[in-house]
Amino acid sequence: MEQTKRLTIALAGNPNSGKTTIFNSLTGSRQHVGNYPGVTVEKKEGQFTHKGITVKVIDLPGTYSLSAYSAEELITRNFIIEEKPDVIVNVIDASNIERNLYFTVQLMELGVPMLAVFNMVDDAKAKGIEFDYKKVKELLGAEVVQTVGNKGSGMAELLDAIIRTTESTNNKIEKHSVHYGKELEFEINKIKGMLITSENIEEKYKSRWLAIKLLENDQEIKKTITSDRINTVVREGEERLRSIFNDDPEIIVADSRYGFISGICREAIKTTIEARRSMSDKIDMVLTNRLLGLPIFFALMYMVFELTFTVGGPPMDLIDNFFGWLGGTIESFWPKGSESILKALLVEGVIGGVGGVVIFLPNILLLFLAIAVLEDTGYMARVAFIMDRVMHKIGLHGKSFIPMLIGFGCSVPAILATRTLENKRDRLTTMLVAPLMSCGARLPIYTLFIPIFFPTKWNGLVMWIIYFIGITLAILCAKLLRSTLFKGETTAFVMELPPYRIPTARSVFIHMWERGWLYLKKAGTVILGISIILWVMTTYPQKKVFSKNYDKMNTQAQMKYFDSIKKLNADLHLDNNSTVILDAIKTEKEMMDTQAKFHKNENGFVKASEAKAVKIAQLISSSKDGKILKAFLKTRDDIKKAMLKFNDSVKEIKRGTPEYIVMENGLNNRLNKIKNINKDVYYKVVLKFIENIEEPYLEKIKSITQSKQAEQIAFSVSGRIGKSLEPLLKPMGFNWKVGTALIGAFAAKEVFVAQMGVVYSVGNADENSESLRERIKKDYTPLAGFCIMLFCLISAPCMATIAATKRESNSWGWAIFQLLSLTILAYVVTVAVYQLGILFSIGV
Amino acid sequence: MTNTDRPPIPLMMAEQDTEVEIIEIKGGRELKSRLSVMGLLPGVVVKIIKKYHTCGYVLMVKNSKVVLGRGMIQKIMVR
Repeated sequence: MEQTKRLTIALAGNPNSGKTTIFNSLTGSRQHVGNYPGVTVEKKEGQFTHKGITVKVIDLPGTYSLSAYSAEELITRNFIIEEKPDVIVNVIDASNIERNLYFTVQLMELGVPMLAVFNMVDDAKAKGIEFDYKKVKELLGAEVVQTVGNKGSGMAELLDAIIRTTESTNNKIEKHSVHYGKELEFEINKIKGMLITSENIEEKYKSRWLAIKLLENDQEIKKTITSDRINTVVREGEERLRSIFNDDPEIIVADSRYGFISGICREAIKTTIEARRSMSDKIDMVLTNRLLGLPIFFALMYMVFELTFTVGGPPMDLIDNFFGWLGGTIESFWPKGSESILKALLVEGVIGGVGGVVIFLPNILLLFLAIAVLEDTGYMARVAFIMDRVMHKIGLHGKSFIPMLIGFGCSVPAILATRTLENKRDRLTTMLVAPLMSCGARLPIYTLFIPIFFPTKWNGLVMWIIYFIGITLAILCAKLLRSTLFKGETTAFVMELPPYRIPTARSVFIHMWERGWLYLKKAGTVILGISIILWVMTTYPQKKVFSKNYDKMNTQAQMKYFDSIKKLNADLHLDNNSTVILDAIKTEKEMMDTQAKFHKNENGFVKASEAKAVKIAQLISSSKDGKILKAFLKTRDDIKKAMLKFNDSVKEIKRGTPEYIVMENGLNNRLNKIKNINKDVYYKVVLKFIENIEEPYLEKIKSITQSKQAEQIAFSVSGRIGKSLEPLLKPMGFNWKVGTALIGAFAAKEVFVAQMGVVYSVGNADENSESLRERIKKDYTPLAGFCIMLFCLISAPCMATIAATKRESNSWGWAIFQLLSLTILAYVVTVAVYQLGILFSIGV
Repeated sequence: MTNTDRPPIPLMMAEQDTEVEIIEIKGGRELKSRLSVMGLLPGVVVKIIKKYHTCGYVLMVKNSKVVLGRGMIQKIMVR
């Protein structure tokens, strides 16, 4: 029965012939993208079922030829020869038949079962090209199907033809092949004869094809021939041909193929309309215009950048919130305040780490959406052309520009974007230098440091200098790499400018999703591992005995707090030894201490607040000063409520903006109301309590906790590494605290600021915390501060970048090379700057 | 258009909007081969669509638009 029959087909053809569109139409969403072993060329596989037959489809990379000059060509050729697919579906752009048939002719020579798909026949028709399909079929010796890939027409015929081609076992293909002329045919036959008699030749190659390839000087094929006798004959043949034609044999072979194709075109193709200026030409007149080309390009790039990072913002917040919620939910499985290692690992290590990666997903999806549109419309080829001169000067390809630009947002999508580069040398160079484009996550570091050491009017300039240093280093490194590791003739810039086309939503979305999914799957697993390691490093070993008695410090702070509250009695016209207020505050504190042990939805939490309410009510009713207490508490709650509301509403608003002033006025109005209702006396005392007693106490407690944390960090592996690195860090002007923060920065650059906050043990270490700035200022000179920024700019990119490099270069080697070389570069540059600065006493 | 008596000139010197025949490609075997698969080989007539002095030339080769970098246009001799 046919039910169990399985077929394998491969799609092959020129770039821009619409192969992938056909592939998507055939397989729908049942596809899988991987890499060919050892190379960065994508391998796309999918399958479909037609008439009970399951057909596996492979989308081979687009190539112009079956020679062995590029990875794509070699992959295509080896796949066809070694995997022997049941049918090669040759997708041909019908509107550009001559060049496309060059590939077809080579397939014919290979003698594989083939099916010719004339794609985009609507375009051909519009160009006035008409085919005599019967004749074409005869001349190619293969079935011919007409399709319009982006409209999906002709797909049913294609499916039938695929099955038909596999059923007809006797192929007539070999009958119709190029005749190379008397002299070449003589050499071909001579070599062919020797190949047939030679026994070491594997039968997978057709001997005629092999003979032609040998004459074409195909290095890969030549490697397989060990017989000296054959090699000599080939060499002699080459010489003879060169003396006759005054050119290399491969050129004569190519010439004959084009001659054969011209024959096909003469016999089977009729051009009815005189070629006129097409739509595509008109678009090109604008987009590659000498004056408008660059501005349009920059405008489009700006849009891509905006789309990636601005539109990506809200979904990133959503993902962030989701992981926050997830962490909270998982935390609630344990009793509050539990010190379970598993809980900490899950919440801080796993969720924190994975969340930090997944958060880039909107960026990546949007970026690839934009790139897919740019590529599918045909604009990308023009970008490469427009930017080639500039990029060429620094040893890169025109297409390298896009990844470099994206690098200002985030290195991870930048490295993923190097996929658009065909040449491996160009791709690796771009990948390795892309992290030098200062990414968005490094911005908080600069905004923390710059205002500490530089006057306000210089802030912008210093920021610009930092970015400029990054760009300059990227250029220098690219040049260096191109002249050492990736030496070699700069790839000849020959490229087809495909006609502009409207991309199909389907192919754009498939493209986008594939990339996103790959990112999640591969980078995710690597990053998960590294984030767990980093978490362990900053958490263990745990310190049991601390240098100071932090509990005692807490108790002392609390005693001082209570004393200060007692002193309020005078202001409230209470007896000096009255304890009503203090008792009430103590009751509230008790409640909070109890509640800290429970989750909000737990019984104990509610019970504690009920107990407090009862106790306070008792205090009010039993004491002679109950009334005063009641008024005090009410005023305090009212003021706090007003302040909370204000803080909530100005969270997203900048100070000094009109909206901010409106909110500020609202707060003042509310406060005035409270002032008037509750008589001035309570209002003033309560303000004094909040501002001079409660807040300093809370700050004190926080700083005690953070000092304890800082001691813990210093004790942990990463703290110890930081300390042991100190001799190395000294020449750059760093102390161990920076070292420890740098280890955290490897997880994600923005962690640096938070880590600095922790090691400097000040609360709430966001970029604006003044106290952190003050402490840093005490520890470092402006020169050292600048050096810290410099080091953060150049040094080891974050682990997500390393993971992306590993994935894109398909080797740990390059990822580690990137990590080490950038770190060494950062070290050398920073040491040089610091030492020179010291020498000339600049900024010390 | 093509006059066999005239000596070949580099493609760089050819006029925009004219059709020229490729006479010779000065370069290694690999380069020649790479160009030949794009349809650029001696005997082929190409049309110069646009000259960009900074980037290179846009040519019409066998019904498709091909761009050549600055290095290339000096190596291709045409008539």
